[in-house]
Amino acid sequence: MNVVDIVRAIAAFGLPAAAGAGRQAEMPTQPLSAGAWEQVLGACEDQRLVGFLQAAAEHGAFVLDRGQRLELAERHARWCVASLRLERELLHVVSLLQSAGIDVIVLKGAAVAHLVYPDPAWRLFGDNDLLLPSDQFDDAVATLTRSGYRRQTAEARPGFERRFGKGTTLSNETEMELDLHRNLVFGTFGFAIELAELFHSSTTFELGGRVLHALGPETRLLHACYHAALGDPTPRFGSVRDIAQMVTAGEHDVRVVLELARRWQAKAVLARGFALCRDHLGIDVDGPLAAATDGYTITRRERRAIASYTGANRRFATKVVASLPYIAGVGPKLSFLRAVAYPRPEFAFEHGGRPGLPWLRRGLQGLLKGGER
Amino acid sequence: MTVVWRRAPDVLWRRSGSRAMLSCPGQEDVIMMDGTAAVVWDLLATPLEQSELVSALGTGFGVDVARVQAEVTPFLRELWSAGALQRT
Repeated sequence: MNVVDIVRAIAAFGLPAAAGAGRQAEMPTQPLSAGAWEQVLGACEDQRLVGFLQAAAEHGAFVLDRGQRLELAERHARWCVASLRLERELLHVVSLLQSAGIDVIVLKGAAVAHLVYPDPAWRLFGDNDLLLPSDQFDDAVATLTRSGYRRQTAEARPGFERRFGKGTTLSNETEMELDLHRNLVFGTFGFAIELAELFHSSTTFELGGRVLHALGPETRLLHACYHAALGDPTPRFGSVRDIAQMVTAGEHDVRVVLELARRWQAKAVLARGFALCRDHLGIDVDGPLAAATDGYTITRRERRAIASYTGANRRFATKVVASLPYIAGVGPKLSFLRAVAYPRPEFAFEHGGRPGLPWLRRGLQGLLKGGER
Repeated sequence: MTVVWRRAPDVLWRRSGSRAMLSCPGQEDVIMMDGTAAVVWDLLATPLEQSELVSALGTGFGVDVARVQAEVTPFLRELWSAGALQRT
């Protein structure tokens, strides 16, 4: 049996029969050889699928020998313990921020695990992600750094993240990562998102006796598409599974998703998300939403925008150029350009450049090369 | 006196195979439970009188109720001390 097909079958475990039926046949009916098992388990670790593999084994859909079962149980337990520690820290951080009067939405990780999946032990995660209002972003960073968190990356220029950025990453004394977002994605598609809508349409979930806020079903689905479609050229199977899980769960209002995608110029992102389900995982997500994007012809402008995230030349400078048409007003455009053309030295170093002329020269080279054509 | 046991609402937990893992506020370590201990946690998804819990375990495992009572009582107290359970 082909290891990739087995891993895809694991990624599809638990989806409604219509979506994942073809994949079920690729689950092994006998324990794998030692070599194949090592490859499958390693791939599941990389692709964040250990939870699905454990679930498949518990349901008898994936046959293991005793040693494999024990090894998988240990791996899954480790992930679960990590998730619990992250959730405990999440409650602490949300409490800190809310005490400082800061609105917080939990993104990805804990929110998706508890809201979208039948058992949060299926959906494993490695950090916490929070969404904050732009005008409270700097206060949130200050509150957390006063509490012992430290920034992992420098800001291009003071105020850049609050005005233009996607967010920043902090870590605490145990190296636990916390991603603070003010937007769902940096650059072109991010500038088109109506950030207030993310808070307006939020939902809640319970964690440890507390009520936390998360994205509503429609914006949550869009975020899953942004994350998978624009995050990496080859997204993790786990990220694509989120899209399939949300679409098949059907909690979203199709009209609202399509209207938001229209207003946010994100139909191409939606289409790419569903294409990833089909091409990357071999899962056909049916229904009116998929039908609405089926056969959607991505425009040249959209193709270049997507290429700035996933293409061979997906550098920071490429995203900057692609972003300019999406920033409203001459003043903001100039501020944005000034910040990216003359960033702080530490920001330039982190992005592999040197401040001053060398940074500018590098940026220009990136601009001239552009994205995929 | 009838004791009713319930899960503490501020406990975070996961189930994995035969294990249950609990994170209680103020406790750095995650409590790992296996086998019967994990089953106790499952049964307390709804609040139960101790006698109901003992009876369910006795029936489920085919063990004498007196023996179950003797073994489960200190375990429940341990979980209560750790903040995983509440009792009324």
